[in-house]
Amino acid sequence: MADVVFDNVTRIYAGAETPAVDALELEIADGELVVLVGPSGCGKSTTLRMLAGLEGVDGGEIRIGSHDVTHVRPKDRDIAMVFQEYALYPHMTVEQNIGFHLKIAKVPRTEIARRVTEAARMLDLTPYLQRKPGKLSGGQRQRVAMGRAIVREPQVFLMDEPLSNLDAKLRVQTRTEIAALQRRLGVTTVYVTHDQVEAMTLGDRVAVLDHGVLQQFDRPRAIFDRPANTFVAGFMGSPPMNLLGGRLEGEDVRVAELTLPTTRAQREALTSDEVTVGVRTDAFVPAADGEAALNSIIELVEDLGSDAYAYCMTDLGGAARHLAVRVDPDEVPDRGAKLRLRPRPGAVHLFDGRTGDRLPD
Amino acid sequence: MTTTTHPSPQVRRGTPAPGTQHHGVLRIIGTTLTWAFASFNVLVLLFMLFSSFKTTKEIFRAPWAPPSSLHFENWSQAWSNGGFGSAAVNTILVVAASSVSVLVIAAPAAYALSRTQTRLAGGLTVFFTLGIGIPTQVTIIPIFVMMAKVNLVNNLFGLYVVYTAVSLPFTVFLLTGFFRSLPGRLEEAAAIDGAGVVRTFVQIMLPLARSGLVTALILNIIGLWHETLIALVFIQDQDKSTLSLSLLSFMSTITSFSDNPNWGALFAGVSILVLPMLALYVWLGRRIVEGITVGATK
Amino acid sequence: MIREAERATATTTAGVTDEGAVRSSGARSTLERDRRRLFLPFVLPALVLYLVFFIGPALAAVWISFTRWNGSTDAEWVGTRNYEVLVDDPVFHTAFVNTLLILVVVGVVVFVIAFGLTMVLREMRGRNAVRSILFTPYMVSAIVLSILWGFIFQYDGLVNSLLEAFGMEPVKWLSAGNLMPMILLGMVWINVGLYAMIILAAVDRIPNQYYEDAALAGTNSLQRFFYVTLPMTWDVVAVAATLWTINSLKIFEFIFAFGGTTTDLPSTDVWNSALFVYGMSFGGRTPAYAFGYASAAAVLMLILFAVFVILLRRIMRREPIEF
Repeated sequence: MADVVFDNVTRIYAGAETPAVDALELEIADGELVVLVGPSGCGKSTTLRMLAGLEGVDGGEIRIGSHDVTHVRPKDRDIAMVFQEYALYPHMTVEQNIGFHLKIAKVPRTEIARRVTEAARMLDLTPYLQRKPGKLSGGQRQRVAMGRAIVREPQVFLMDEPLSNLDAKLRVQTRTEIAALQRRLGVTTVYVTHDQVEAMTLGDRVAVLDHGVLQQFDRPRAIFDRPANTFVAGFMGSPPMNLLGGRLEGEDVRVAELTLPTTRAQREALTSDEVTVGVRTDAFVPAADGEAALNSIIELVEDLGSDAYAYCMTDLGGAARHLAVRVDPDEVPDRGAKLRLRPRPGAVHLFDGRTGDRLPD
Repeated sequence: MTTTTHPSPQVRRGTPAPGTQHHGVLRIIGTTLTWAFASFNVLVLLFMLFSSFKTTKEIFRAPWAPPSSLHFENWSQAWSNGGFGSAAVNTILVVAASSVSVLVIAAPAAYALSRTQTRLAGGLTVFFTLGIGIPTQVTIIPIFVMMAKVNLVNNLFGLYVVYTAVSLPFTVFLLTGFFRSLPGRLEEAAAIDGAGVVRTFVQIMLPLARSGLVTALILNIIGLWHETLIALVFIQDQDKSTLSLSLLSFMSTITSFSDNPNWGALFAGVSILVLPMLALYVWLGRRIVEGITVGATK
Repeated sequence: MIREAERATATTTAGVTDEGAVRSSGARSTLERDRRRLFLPFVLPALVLYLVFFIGPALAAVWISFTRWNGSTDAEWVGTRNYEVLVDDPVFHTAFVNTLLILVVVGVVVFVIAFGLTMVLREMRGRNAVRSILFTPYMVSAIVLSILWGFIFQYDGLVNSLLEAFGMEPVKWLSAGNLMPMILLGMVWINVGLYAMIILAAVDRIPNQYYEDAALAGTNSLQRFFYVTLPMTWDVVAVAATLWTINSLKIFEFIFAFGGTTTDLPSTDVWNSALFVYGMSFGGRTPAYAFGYASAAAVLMLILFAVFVILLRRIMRREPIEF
């Protein structure tokens, strides 16, 4: 068991203007499951591949269990990786696939057999040991890939979007299985995904990346409650937080008719009078008559049964904006209905309008 | 999903991954040999080109050196005395006519074979492929006798007919595979729009298959440009000879009938045969290589 | 009025019948039906040409091989006589051995080098340029390559001029005993590019994740070759091996130009199957026109090679793999 440290790690692809991963600082505790999440090209896969040793490191240092592994070959890092497409050898049986790494490492045959049998039992693969991957379902293939990682008994598991090739239902089921397995084995795990729901449900902590830069690294709840900047606010959550452009007037932020109070510390942190106001979909309440409100017209209603969302067009003082609002699923309003909305006091997130950074609470 | 999941091996990186920089002795030897092999190919072609501008004496005295002065008379001697001029015209005419004709015949057949799911179509596809395995040396005697009966021996039209025929199995094979890879949806769309089968073929499928047709055309041009055995058997007169034949007879003239053979002229003749195809390769190299490998790897 | 009504009914009925007809012909769509009707017109020209210039002549060659015939006089049926003579003909023996030498020796060397190249080229700088250059012999006439090959190795040729420059003794590369080995070597030279290119195309299709997983497992390059590259390109290698078998039987120009000209044939020591057929029929200053004998040799070699191809495909058959 070991912790993993990224110390100021940078990766620059030849010919690229900006680094794929820029001065990344990340400390992953022993036994922790950390999810790297971000949009396409944010550097999350590059980060994982640097940790695996499949990718060079242009600056900084990577440590596993206090050993500097920056220049260590992949096989000597004591890690195991689950690939997005699983990389199961089509010409080998399930048994041979799971035992392949041990065979290359010259582990005695009886020991290989013992570990493969054990892994197969744990993953319900025992009946399929003699089959080739081509004859397995997507979920079974995924488990074979997991098995191949488990038998190495590594210090760290690396998982590169291991669920993206499964259909939606199986993905949810396998997600919980992976979580359970990881808790049981207690092996430090770095997990890459572009799916923020997967990140929030699976990770002990979540690292949000964008354009090669770490945006926030925290527990899922904290990321949801206190997003560090507008990128995290807009990326995490489904539907994401509404971000509205406002302006500081005196001590208040003004968004259309609304005025929102600010603290002294917030005002001092601002780089200009532009403020971005973030409101979660469930943080809107109907405004009383005469109260300042955002006047909105419902354009589309998404009724999911237990939840319902209204997508509105809102007039922000001349400029029209889309707004997603959670509504009561038992009393879903009609399309075209007019809503007068205001954010619940205390449920407003304020960000610097220029830099996007969260203002102090 | 992510941009770095499958970096192609060609992608040049910054710092390489650990371990990949480790140059084994084997790797160094392999790389050296590979470069030596590639250099050999380049040097041989350069030698050919250089020698075509040299006197015989100079070729033997300094074979690897560039020509000290350009002896263009080698080229004119090959072109007129060696008969390469008329041979070039003959070759271009026959090769062009045959490689186009075989497309006209093979394309409809390949289309029908690839789009009809009957046992007959399947069998015929295999039947045509069989022809690739029948070497010319087996069929050339009967074909010669047959063509002699209709007075098409020692005749460029006869050569054109035979060239068209011998190119058929490979062309059908290549195009069948190509048509099969085209989506069937488009034909269904055309049918819904009211186009008949012939119209669908001519107006929808042929334009779509253009790259496959061009590949087949190029490969046939290359193959027929180099063809020798059939030409050797079918053509006797010098004014009907192809470039391959001219080169062979020029070589016999300068090596056996002359005390002072002009090797420079021979290499000029060689260049006349080689340069058009090398130019084609420089122009369309990628497509040629893909066309040749696609049949085997698909 | 009535007429119009009748016409309307008629149209309706026709429509119904039409639909019924479509249904009764199974699950076949009109598109499919049209296609079937045009199948023959589309295929026929190619089929006729193919029958006249391939199947007909091939069958005729079999018949001719049982006769004594010079092409002009009437053919005389001699039964298996041609084949019996062939078996005892030392010239045919040489041609037969040479053909097999080309098939096996050149084949094995070409494939080994081709695989070696794929291993080197996968991770080499300038690999695209090298690939293109290695393929150039395919674009050059075999006659030209043969002439160049001869010029390189003749006594006052390129190699010896290099040897002398380094103070070494010139070597008689093209002495009678060396001729066939030099031809085999030359064939390796001109064929490696094509087969390396085919195998490289297959190697390029192997998803990189397998090499990454192999790197994680700690494989060396030899293990990577046997666990990843070879099994995942096996079906292409099998096709390439078949292609080589077929092509090797067709080889003619390189040997022909390596010692012969339009009028003279090279020494029988270097003949292969194709040269034997040519030499016994149309070739040389005074052609033999022994059509029956030549055909017997051609047919015999074709049968042998066909058997070889079938065996090869059976031996190399594996479960097809999908990535």
